[in-house]
Amino acid sequence: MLKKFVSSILCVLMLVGCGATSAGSAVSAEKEAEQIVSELGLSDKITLMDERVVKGLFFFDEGLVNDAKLYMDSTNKSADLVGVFKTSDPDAVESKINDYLTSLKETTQMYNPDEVFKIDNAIIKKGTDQVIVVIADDIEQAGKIVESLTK
Amino acid sequence: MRYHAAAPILCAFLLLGCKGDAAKTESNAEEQEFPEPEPYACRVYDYYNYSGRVPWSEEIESSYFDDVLFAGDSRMGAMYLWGTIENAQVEYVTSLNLWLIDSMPLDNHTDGMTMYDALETTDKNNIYLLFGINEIRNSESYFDSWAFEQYQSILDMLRTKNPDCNIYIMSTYHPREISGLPEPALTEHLGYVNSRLGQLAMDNYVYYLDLDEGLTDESGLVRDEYVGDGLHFGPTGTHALEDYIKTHVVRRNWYVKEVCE
Repeated sequence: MLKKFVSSILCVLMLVGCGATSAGSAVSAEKEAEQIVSELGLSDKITLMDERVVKGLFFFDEGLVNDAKLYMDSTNKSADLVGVFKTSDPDAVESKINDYLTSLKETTQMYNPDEVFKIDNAIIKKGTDQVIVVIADDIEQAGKIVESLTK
Repeated sequence: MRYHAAAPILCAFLLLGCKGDAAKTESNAEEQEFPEPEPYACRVYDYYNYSGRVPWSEEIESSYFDDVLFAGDSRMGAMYLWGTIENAQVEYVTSLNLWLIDSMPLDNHTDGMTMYDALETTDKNNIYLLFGINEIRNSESYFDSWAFEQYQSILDMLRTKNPDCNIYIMSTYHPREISGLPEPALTEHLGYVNSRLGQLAMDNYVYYLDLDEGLTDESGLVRDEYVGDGLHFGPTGTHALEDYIKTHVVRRNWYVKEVCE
């Protein structure tokens, strides 16, 4: 009897453990962003931005994003961009990203109009705990990669 | 008898000697009582009003610009393209976002030098900064971190490198129009930026150059003849900007006095 009880408890604990591992093994923003950049062949075009710059550009409130990685053309010559933002409030993050893209589009229209099309077709994919944004020439491929990451 | 004759003479000499010493002592006493005043404390008073705009002054001599750096976004590019002040250094980045100041390359360089590099390496003592138009579409609270973190960090760097440099924060003048931000939002957003720029100037004891004062018409917009696209200066506007700058230079010696007690 005792043996059965202990075995059951052990099984339950293992299952709980599995569950916890599964939830906690969510891929980091860094890994996902790197994957997108790599698969889109953007490694030579965009670079990883400092955390403070990410916060400044998108004006994220304190604590809104708990893990973020942003790659962009820091020279601002192209609009190419890959951002992965882990958050408990995807709606708020999506809203901030939209604000940024609106502002970016207006500036780009004035100084670099050839890039506006890409901004208009930016991919913003909201998941349960993250938001991914991609601006790239190959929108179709970008869409597939982002879709696979947010399944 | 001989003794009697010598005694008064001796006494007289003694008295004279005493008097001479007394006079000398008296003179020393005078010196001790009234010593030459020496400064024991000096203070520097700066009477300049850092909460206000730079006031009008007589046009500065042209050699002043040997020691001037103009740094800014595309609006500053007009100084490079149309300017007549040839002895000043002008650096600009089109579509400059202040958060990318250390990565976006200067338009007028081919070596990849950034605006931050230019500011960090300049040996000029009078630095004019014109930033803010490319972020104008953001919400009000955005400008708190924009100004008091990012812009502040640039001022800190300049001050650390050259504590005595004169820094002029140039206000964001009122464009006739800007895409994606119609009135009255444009006026409202300009208020967000300029109020922070004014605060920065006051907090950091640097000068606030209010371009609206010299370049706008009766409606408060930059004069139509100064700008081709509603925002960027053409030749006429650039010359008007130069004239305004020339007649709004703070002479530190007018305001900063050393008082010794």
